[in-house]
Amino acid sequence: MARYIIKRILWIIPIMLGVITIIFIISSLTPGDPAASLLGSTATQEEIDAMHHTLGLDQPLIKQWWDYIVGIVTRFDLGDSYQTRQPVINEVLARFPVTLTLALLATAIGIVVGIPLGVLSALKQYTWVDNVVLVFSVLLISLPNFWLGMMLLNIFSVQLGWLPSYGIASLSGWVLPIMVAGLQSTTQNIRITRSSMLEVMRQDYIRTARAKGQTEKIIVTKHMLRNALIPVATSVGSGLGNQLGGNMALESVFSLPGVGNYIVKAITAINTPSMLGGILFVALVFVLVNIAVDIAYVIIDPRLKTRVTGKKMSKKEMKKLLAKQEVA
Amino acid sequence: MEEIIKKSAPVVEIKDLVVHYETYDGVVAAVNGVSFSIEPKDVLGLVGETGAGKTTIALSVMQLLPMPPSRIVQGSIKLDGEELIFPSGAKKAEKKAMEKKMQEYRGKKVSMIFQDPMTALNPVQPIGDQISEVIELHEKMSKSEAEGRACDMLEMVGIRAERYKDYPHQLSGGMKQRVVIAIALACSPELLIADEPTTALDVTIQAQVLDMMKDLRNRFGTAMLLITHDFGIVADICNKCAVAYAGEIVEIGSVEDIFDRPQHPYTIGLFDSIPSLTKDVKRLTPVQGLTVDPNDLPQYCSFYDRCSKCTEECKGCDPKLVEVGPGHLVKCIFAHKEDEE
Amino acid sequence: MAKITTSAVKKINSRRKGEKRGRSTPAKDAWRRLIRNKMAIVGMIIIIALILMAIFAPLIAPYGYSDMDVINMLSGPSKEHWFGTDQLGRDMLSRCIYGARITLPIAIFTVAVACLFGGVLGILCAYFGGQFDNIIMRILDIWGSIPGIMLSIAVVAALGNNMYVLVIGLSVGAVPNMARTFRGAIFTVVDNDYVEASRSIGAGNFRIMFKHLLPNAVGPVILAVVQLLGVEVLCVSMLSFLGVGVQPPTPEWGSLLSTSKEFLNTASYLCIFPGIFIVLTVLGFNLLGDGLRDALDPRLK
Repeated sequence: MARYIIKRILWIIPIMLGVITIIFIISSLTPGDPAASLLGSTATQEEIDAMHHTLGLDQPLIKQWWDYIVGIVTRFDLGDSYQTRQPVINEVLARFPVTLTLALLATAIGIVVGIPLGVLSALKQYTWVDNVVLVFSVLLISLPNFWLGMMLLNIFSVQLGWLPSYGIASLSGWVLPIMVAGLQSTTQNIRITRSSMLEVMRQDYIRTARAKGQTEKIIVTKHMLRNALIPVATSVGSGLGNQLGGNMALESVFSLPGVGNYIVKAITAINTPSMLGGILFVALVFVLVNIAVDIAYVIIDPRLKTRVTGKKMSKKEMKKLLAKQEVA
Repeated sequence: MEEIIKKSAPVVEIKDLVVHYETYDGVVAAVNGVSFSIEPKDVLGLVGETGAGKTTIALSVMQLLPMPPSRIVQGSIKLDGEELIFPSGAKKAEKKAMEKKMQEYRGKKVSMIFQDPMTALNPVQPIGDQISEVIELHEKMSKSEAEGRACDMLEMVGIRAERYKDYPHQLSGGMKQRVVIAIALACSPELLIADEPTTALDVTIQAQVLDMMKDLRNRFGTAMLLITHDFGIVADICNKCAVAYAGEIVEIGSVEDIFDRPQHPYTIGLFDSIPSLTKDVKRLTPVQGLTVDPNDLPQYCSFYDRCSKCTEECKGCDPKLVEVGPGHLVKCIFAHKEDEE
Repeated sequence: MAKITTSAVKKINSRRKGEKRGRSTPAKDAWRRLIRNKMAIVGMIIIIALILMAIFAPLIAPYGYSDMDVINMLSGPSKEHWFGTDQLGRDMLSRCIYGARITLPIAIFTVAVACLFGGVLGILCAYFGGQFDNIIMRILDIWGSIPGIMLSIAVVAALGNNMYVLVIGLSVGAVPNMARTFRGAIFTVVDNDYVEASRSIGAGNFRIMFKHLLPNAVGPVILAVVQLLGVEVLCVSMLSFLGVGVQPPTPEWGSLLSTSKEFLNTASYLCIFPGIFIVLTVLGFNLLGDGLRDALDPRLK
């Protein structure tokens, strides 16, 4: 098992290198002169040339690529923002907690509300409960989250004045963004839990469990859920990653000081290092989350676990087991 | 004295059972008026083509039919004398109480071995626990006692007890089926329903499984309903045999009755299509035609279109089971008493 | 029909009176189940309505999308302007109707491109397997590690703000998943005996791939295409909302929402209607997708 985990973790390296390379390629293709943008419109040609040299822009492309990677890996150097001349990494790190909090809370809500609803909906298939849940979930998943945010903002902030219209100066500023992000996560979980449960409910081994005379309640918890929740778990894991990436527009609507909003503002200001730096940061976090999900998946699914570990019982366990046999 | 002892109640008694599957595309008449009973120590072989309704009959006894599409239209199933089927006007509370009772019976009084071992076991539960689960449900023992008994069952079906914590995917098909059998037998049921238990297995494993079942019958007197389409197995282990076609029992009797004196054209056709060990034939003689569509059963004899002996008279009525010898019944208008040959 | 006539038998007999039983193929069965699914029908109607709206926009829209009614700037819904007017006096209803002409083609082209690239990759991977499959899957892992939307933003920012680049950028974000879908679908059939049988009678690789394997992938692929269309409509509107790709004054729904954001306090109705169009479009694709998924999954009802 440990070997498998180490293998997966080592795999992070090529993926990250690949991601960094992709961003580097895009960055090279972006029009505009980084030196001129950094120095501003008053710079002289000499200053620009000097800056070219400092930034290494007069080097061959391969060397620039290599320097870029080395810079990120050793110094976490994502470049400097055109607007503030500050290192992008500092600005991103300062904003990451907000984005992370939003993503984690939304995922938590999604688990607590979404999964039970999905299970209930599957158990009560063909009844009104299922139909209502189905209709609502397909409707909610069709909403653009930033638009929903705007609508709720309109109702609760503009019309009713209950909640602030921007920022998180007060705790109540978190309410709407978490609601909207949480709603997305919930709906996603409802749908995947429902379809996973429906799939499991039709399996032969559920009939075997009934043939044993097992009660319906235990069948649901011990036999159905334990199988149905495995794919749900992976979906939740990658959902967390999606939250990190997909809440950009939401942060913008609510003016939350998160990484997403940072990227949005960088887009408008054509602040390429900030934009690409922010995207790269989120992508790297995304990679880490995915690897963690892969590892967790192996741990919770016994079929994969045994394949990976080739685990047999220890001598002690075997002794205990055979002892029970003699008694009976 | 002997007579009184012999007349004990049948383990299961089915009368005029009719089961329909109601789908959007049609009503599948899976079982159409089936009646038979199984006494203690009987091994009844239920033979027939795919789609003859054998599995449906078995699931009806277990009350495991998926109730939205399937419906028991009429009939009675008595387990140890107790009626399992409710008239359609039954109240919800009664149905609930019956279901609770069935949960006590399933696994303990009557248990079932399903056809496909590959999908019958929970993939995320160790095989030993799957056996101890049924023991814990029905026997009053502690958890470790139940686990010990589960180890015993594993050994009995020929699997080393050390494999208790293995998962189904680590076992071969034959071993999985043996686990299924262990689960079915763990609480020594009075009636064991085996739905084509050896079809998915190779011949050597088949022989082992059959020996195990014979052993059971001898040691515990377990009654069995053995569903199969292999007459060889019937000859090996059964003492009674019923031939099913299109949801009806067309002939039933002791194994000698069916093998030596079959009367229904279908039964005769089935035996004729088995390759002979002694004769040298160029071609086999199958039963003509394809099995009838259960969506579209005629109001007269269902076997009419494939029967080599049919006449105009056959179209006029739906034949009923007629007793042609002690315990030997045939559903054909041309059935004749055995002693009048 | 059955030996005993129950109420269910009577119902089916009366329904069957007009029907004739033709030959049924899996495709026909799936189609029949699809037609019966109410959600799928609603979805199809919505999509067809939106497509017609896009095609006949000049005939349906009461005004042009850039006609300015200067007197009635920022006025709420009224008899002349059902959805109100924006800050330049343009009719919101007309702009929303024309918006379909932007969003739908972009989404459709994006999905087409993603299908083409992803499909070719997926089929090749599934068919050739081995090292080739390994390498391509690793590349796809890396490619798919960047959240699709962010990758699209980066690409469009690098290559410019026009519609072609937008399609390229969006499809770049969608290719990894599409490739996996095709690959997965073909994997289920590539081991089948009839592939070997075809090879044994001399069928070439190309022929096997396209004539035998691809038709089996149709089910999951159509499902993925429909779902992706819904996702892409959301992506297009999000990107325009953020100012990437489509620029104002092009009346793309997301772009309309972006310019309306500053009027949330004063003229909130400007934000409602473009959003409703987005929701309806995505809803249509999602309903159809759900119905398709149920129709393609053979279950006993």
